Amino acid sequence: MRSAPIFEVMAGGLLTTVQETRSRARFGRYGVAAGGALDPRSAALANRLAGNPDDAAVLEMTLTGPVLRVLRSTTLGLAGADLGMTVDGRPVAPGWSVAVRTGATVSFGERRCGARAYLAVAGGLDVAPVLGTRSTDLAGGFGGLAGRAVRAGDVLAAFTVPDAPARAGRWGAADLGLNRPLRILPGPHRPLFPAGAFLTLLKAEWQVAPESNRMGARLVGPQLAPRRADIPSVGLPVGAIQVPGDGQPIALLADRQPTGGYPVLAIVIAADLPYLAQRAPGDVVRFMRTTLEEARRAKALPGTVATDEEGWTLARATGGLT
Amino acid sequence: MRLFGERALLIEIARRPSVRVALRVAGLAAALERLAGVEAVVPAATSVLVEVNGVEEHVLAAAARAALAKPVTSGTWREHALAARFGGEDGPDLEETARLAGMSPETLIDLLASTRLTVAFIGFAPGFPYLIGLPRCLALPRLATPRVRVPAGSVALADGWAGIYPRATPGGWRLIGRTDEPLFDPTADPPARLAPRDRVRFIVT
Repeated sequence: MRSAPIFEVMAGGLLTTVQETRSRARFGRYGVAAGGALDPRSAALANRLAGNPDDAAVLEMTLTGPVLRVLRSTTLGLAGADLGMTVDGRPVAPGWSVAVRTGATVSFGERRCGARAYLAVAGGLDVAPVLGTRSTDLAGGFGGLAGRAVRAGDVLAAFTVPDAPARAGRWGAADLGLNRPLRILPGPHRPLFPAGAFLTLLKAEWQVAPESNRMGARLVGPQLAPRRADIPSVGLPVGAIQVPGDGQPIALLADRQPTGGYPVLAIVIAADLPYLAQRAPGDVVRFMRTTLEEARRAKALPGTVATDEEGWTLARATGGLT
Repeated sequence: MRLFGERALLIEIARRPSVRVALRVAGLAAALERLAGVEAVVPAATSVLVEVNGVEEHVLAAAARAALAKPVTSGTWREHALAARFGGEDGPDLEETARLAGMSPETLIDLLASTRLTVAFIGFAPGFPYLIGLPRCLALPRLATPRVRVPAGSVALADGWAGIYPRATPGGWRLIGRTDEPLFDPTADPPARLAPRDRVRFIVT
């Protein structure tokens, strides 16, 4: 496939990385993080808006977005958090696609809601896949754009598509689930905690701490200190809520290290992790207990049929791009 | 075998790590990885995490039992001799570590260099080997305050393990030496140079 430069990065924003929906989970045994878009539903939606397959590489932007100069006319798709995107000063809301011309400036202003926005470009970003995906692994320093966040001076390329859809329109938006309680299952080390700890996790109101990152959402609330703080290192699925000696839980996100030595009190089900990833520092997190059956039914990625119980509204949009 | 969320199972085979446990964990991980419906296996100190998609639990349990019934000596491994420098700038914690272990830095280096370690698993960071088989006197707790930056190639000890940091990262282990041997290359197959069951010796340079 041919590709050509698409964006010159004028400002990188707080943390802007190339990500896609596929993970490196099967490389966990080499110490590699799963990685990938923290809200894969929104990444997939951004791609659909740009006319791409769900797993094309997109930009994941955190809290404060970048400033990008468009190097050739194309179609962009935006989904996820509302970080105040504009094209030459005109606002673009999540759930919309927009045609942009050579020389246009895409910038981001004030954050309105959510934490992570996804910007897709027709054809998908062209970076070399490493270990099965184009996603950036910040800890390992590989994947994406040279294994690091995008910064001023970078030039990003995208694959060229013969008939780039020069259309603009709305295609519904994924529910960011900002008020939803996150569904959890008990973790394997629950017996290492005092009797009431799991109940406290369920009853309390937690706040996302500013030190949260792509590795984990650090939560602030009541003490959950385990009776034993150190356990032999154990493989950790994404979503595991581990509690270090300070008693404050950390819900592991996609860039978590694949093994760790803190007891795990509970685990957030995969379908609800995007909702956690969209909480910004200071936002409230509540948990509710679910069942294994419900957890297995809940979908982590949108199906091709557009509406489901996970809050997808694609079918309600009138026949795709309008 | 315990559920770990809706898509993973944790198979814990011992309470405490040892060379024998490490070999059993490695054998179990290798056997389960080949099963249809297993998406990923992550071996660790005393357990294997199995991420599944559509595999029946009893099938997994039967495969686990079969793997654990095999002698620990089965399976293949490679020998690695890793050249490393010890002490000074390369091992800023060597002196204190030796003092806590009740020996001179020279004795500690001799002891380590004469020990054949076993790779138990790769974890914490891409390519980071957890090496088991240290003499008991070198089992020391990690540093009270982790370093913000541990240089790439650092050879370190903590909690009865030896490890090597393939890349600069924050870390709380005791740094005693440093190697220039590359341990992780994301473009190689497999990306990690060391694998569970491999044996490692340090060559003092």
